[in-house]
Amino acid sequence: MMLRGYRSGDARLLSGPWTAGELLGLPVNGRPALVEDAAVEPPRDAAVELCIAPGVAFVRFSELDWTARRARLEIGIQPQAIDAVAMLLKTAVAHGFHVLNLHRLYGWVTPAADPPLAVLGDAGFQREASVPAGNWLDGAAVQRQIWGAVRRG
Amino acid sequence: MFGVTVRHFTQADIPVRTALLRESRFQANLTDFAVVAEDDALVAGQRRTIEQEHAVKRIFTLCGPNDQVLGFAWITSIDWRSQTCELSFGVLPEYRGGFGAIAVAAAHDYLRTELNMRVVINQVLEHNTMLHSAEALAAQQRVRCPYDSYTVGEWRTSYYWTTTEDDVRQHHERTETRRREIAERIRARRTA
Amino acid sequence: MVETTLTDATLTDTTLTNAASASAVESTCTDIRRLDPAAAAAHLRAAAEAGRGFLGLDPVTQNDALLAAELARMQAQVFRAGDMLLGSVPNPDQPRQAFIAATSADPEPLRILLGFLDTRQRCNSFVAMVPDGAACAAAFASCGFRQVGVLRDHRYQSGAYQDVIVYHAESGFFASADSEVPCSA
Repeated sequence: MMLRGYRSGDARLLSGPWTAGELLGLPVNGRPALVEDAAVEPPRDAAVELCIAPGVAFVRFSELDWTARRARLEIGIQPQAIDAVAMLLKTAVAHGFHVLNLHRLYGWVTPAADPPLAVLGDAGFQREASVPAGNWLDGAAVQRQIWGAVRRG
Repeated sequence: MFGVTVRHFTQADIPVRTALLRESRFQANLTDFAVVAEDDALVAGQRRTIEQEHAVKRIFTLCGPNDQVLGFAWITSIDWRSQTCELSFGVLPEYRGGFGAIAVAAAHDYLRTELNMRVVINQVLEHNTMLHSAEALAAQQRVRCPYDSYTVGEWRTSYYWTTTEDDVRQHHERTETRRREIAERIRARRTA
Repeated sequence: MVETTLTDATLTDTTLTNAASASAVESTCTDIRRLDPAAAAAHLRAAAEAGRGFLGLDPVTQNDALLAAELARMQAQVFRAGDMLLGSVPNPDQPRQAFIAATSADPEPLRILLGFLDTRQRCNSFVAMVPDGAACAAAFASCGFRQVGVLRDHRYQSGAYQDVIVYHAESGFFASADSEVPCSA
């Protein structure tokens, strides 16, 4: 699986039936028809690196801090490609560590959205914080976790 | 570090740096673009650097033990992904003798320990012995570029070299070793 | 640079001295003033070490223009209580939660800020991300914050990566025993 930089022709990959801002943006089942798709913007400045896996997903490195060498990772996977989530996450981590030369990647995970946590562990992430009421989901404030991966060597 | 501190360049520093950019030895040693640039353009350019150009160029003011301005350091060719940048200096004429080497060390230290830069590229024109002796320049240089620049009516040769964390560590170890040797010699002389 | 006093008339030292809490009477805080981004940047610089990591910013690596731009982008509210700075950034994904920062260990101005955010901005959940070893952690602890995590190697300072500790508190846990922030009539 290959990541390349975003071009305007990839715009349809930027939105999907996800919980917004998640480290793992996977399609949510049973969403009411009125709910709009979550979407990320095309990058406006150098504070965001936006990549795409062609036809499959976007991989976004935001809150880039080049001095602290860290970025917030967000992935949004199109419904037809959810089987690729494990490979995609590993590719994203490799890009962050070896292409962007970052030391740390982190992201927000909402347990109530039922994400596949084992996939995170396999890709080198650890749960680092559990923030009560960190997200708003289905009519209530719910816990949100921060998962982080630190590059060793 | 030994009384030299590094702080961000501010609007209040602009007049001092503008004058330095036009000073004769600075022109010969670095660049003479400032002589043919208008006052307004010089000031506006530096102001733009302060307010907007954080991703591509940063200027720092070097201060002495009494917060007096000794000179300026600035980084360009910043490659954030690779943690590298090119470092240039301008020290005010009245401080060129004393604080030079310390100011250079303070700037390198800031880049490495606060900005997390790993490789700093140094470029000095061959004839410029203001902050480095001719022997030190000849020993350190890795790339020599004749006709690198044209300042004050002459073509100049330029030396380039990089400073990495390893270089800094080795330099510290050499300094420590030298210090220990001197201490040993003094001790031996006393007991003799 | 603009400083404005919080318009909430309750946030005066008269209110503090009327409160039964002994620690409030002894507090050196009398007045909390809101700062615009440019003023906030200047005060952060003056705060030196205590300002490093405030709302994720660093006056040592960011100049005043960059600090002010970042504060504006985050829609941060920054306040000054004497020499102490306090900051609040809304959580864009949960409107009743705010990220909080402080530059000293004095809990009283922090308590007043939290009460203000609760009463005036409907905030009932507060998160603080504090550099490991920072003095302001004591202020958060005194106000009932509890540690909910550690972000490993989240910052770079003085030649090494450093952890950031995550704290959380809810409304009702930070009010001191007998004081309330009364609503103006």
